Amino acid sequence: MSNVPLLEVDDVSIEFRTRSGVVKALEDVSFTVAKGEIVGLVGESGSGKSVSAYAAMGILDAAGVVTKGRIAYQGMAINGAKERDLQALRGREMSMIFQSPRTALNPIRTVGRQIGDVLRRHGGATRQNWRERAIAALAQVRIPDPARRAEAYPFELSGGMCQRICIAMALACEPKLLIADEPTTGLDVTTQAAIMDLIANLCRARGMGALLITHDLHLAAESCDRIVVMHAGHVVETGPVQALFARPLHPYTASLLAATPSPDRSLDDIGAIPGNLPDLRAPLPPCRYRTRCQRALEVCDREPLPALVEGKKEGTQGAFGPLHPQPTANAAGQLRSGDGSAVAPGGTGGQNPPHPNHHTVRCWNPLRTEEAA
Amino acid sequence: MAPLLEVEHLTKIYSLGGGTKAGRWLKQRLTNTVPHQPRLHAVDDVSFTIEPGESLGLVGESGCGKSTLVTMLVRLSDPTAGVIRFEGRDISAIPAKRFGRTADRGRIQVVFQDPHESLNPRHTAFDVIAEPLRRLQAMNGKALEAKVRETAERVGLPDTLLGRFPHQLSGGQKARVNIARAIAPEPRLLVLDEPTSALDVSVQAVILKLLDRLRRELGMSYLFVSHDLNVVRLLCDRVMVMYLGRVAELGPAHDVFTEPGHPYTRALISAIPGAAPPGGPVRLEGDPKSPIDPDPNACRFHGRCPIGKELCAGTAPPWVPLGPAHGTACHFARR
Ligand SMILES: Nc1ncnc2c1ncn2[C@@H]1O[C@H](COP(=O)(O)OP(=O)(O)OP(=O)(O)O)[C@@H](O)[C@H]1O
Ligand SMILES: Nc1ncnc2c1ncn2[C@@H]1O[C@H](COP(=O)(O)OP(=O)(O)OP(=O)(O)O)[C@@H](O)[C@H]1O
Ligand code: SF4
Ligand SMILES: [Mg+2]
Ligand SMILES: [Mg+2]
Repeated sequence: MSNVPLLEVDDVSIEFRTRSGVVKALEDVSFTVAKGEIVGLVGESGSGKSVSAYAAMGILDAAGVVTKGRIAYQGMAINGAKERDLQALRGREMSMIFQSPRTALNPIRTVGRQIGDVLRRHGGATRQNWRERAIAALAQVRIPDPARRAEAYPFELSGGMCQRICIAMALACEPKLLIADEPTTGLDVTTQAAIMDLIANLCRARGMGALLITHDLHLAAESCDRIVVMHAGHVVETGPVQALFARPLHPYTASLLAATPSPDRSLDDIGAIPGNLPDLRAPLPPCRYRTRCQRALEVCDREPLPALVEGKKEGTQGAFGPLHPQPTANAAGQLRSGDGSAVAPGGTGGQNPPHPNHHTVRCWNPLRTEEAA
Repeated sequence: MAPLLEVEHLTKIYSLGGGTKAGRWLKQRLTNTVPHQPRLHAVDDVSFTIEPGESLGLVGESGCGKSTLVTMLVRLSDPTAGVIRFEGRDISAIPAKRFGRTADRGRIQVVFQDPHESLNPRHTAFDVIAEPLRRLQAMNGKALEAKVRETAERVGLPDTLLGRFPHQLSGGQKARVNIARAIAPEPRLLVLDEPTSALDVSVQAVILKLLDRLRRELGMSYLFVSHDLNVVRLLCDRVMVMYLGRVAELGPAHDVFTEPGHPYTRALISAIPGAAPPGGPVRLEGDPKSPIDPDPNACRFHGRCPIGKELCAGTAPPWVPLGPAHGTACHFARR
């Protein structure tokens, strides 16, 4: 069973039933996290990153329903599992760093005790050694003077220190799968680098797998092995980190990169992505990027999104092939990639997931390789 | 022209409990000694100025005292020592409790980090923007409404959104409401504590352009706290780098980024994701010093500093000028 990924999200759709309508938060979302790798999940606010994370942890809001697909941890189904089984998993096997860490801490218990509680519940710490281990955990996330700071209450610590306490708590039980939702947004770059080193070391040494949710594309580029780009509840592009950032295929990925500040860019060089995320309660076109997209074709309004994989046609870099061996009924003849090589559509479902290292895109008119470079 | 803000030797020290009050009293009685109470030096002897219309960036390690400094400057907390002069007037002597009712409250405004958490869920966007105008300038009726609409327009918030509650607004819209509330009383100094770190890159791009435009249009000064050095570089004229309560380096943004003098600044810049220097990022080894009862005769960075020597362990570094407006606190500053 060594081929079973740690986390498998396969063709998952999730809806929230709210008073103002049904929010189609995720649609046909597929990705995996294998042992030892860090997978980056990027996309604008509201694109469904946290919802994906909650679904993987089995802690979706009561209004949220998985309407389709399968979420599995080491082959064991998460959606539909008993709460008791999930609880056992969450303590020991997988843990999550939440997006707003201050609210995740108990305001009237010292941080050392809070880490100690987790260690004793899930990490095999005893009454004799929990304090020592809690202090070690604080030192690991670079809290200065950990022995004395263990006695501090959350309000006595800075925002970034609280964030690191939460990271220490998530790592305390040595999880096999770590889901980190914006773990370093409140941290300076040197502390961020230390935390990412720590996570990377755990992946290397213990084979921990990590799903890193972030807005920071530079950080994702530096720390992840693979990237999953989400837009409005769709996975629009996935691929190995270098290929994906060097040659983004989806116009949305390219826009995200263009909006990112970097040392050689001025304020005029960075551009916001035109338009807004569509209202996920309204009827949606097959491609949810349609109204913002400058490369849209007539087919985008008509046909379900294709799933394409780059480089399938041997020897020709930038040629796209179908993601799935048997293309569905879509008319392959209409399609051309930018450089004239054939692009064939794949199935629209995830019944036959691609090799995780393939660079895949869901778009009728992906960017040409030369153009993106 | 006189600086808008002058900060001199500003210090904030927290006395840490060390047990309960009764316990300390008992111990004092029994041992007949005054027990030592640990003191945490959150901000320690910080001095700088902000000119009218200038934008100063504040960066530094998590826990180095940025938010503590900010809350003192906007007079939400009282300094332990030091002076804050605003437009030449000493405002540090007025207790924080009373400052909220002075006219200066409207002239120094602050935007806090998380637009999602800092808005009252039961107030509409209109109420949020109107609140400081009502409270500080006793505006009401038509004048208030006109002012709120004008401010909303300035930050690019459509009229139709003014009746909405925070949960009906997107992250970028909430950020605009927050900024509108802060600029409505026409402050001279706008303090921004990580205003964009909770926003995605696209919204961030919009907000940064907005802030840049507002500063030019309204002639405000900014103190801009951020962890994103790429963002600081885009928006700030000068940068102040703090390390464990102290100013490590201060200078024009371009100079600090291209010719950092302090080894901590160099480590910081080398760790900017996506901008690793040829030799790779400098990773700081060793344990950071404690902010509790720090040794007054040592450099705070000693122990982690890649170039520190014995001198640094026994003598606090002096302020070393590196250029006309550029300086650093380091014995071995690169000149
Ligand atoms: N409990 C809920 N009820 C209704 N809709 C929800 C709920 N939780 C999330 N949503 C919706 O699902 C979509 C995805 O939200 P999600 O929180 O996953 O975004 P995100 O990518 O994590 O964004 P951010 O970067 O801002 O954290 C949004 O449109 C959001 O409004
Ligand atoms: N109420 C308090 N009591 C005791 N110590 C405090 C209190 N508030 C802050 N501190 C301490 O003061 C120091 C500076 O904290 P501050 O919040 O100013 O840091 P910061 O630079 O804003 O960090 P971050 O980037 O993580 O937000 C920290 O060591 C913190 O633990
Ligand atoms: S499918 Fe069409 S509309 Fe969607 S991103 Fe691709 S080109 Fe644009
Ligand atoms: Mg989220
Ligand atoms: Mg802070």
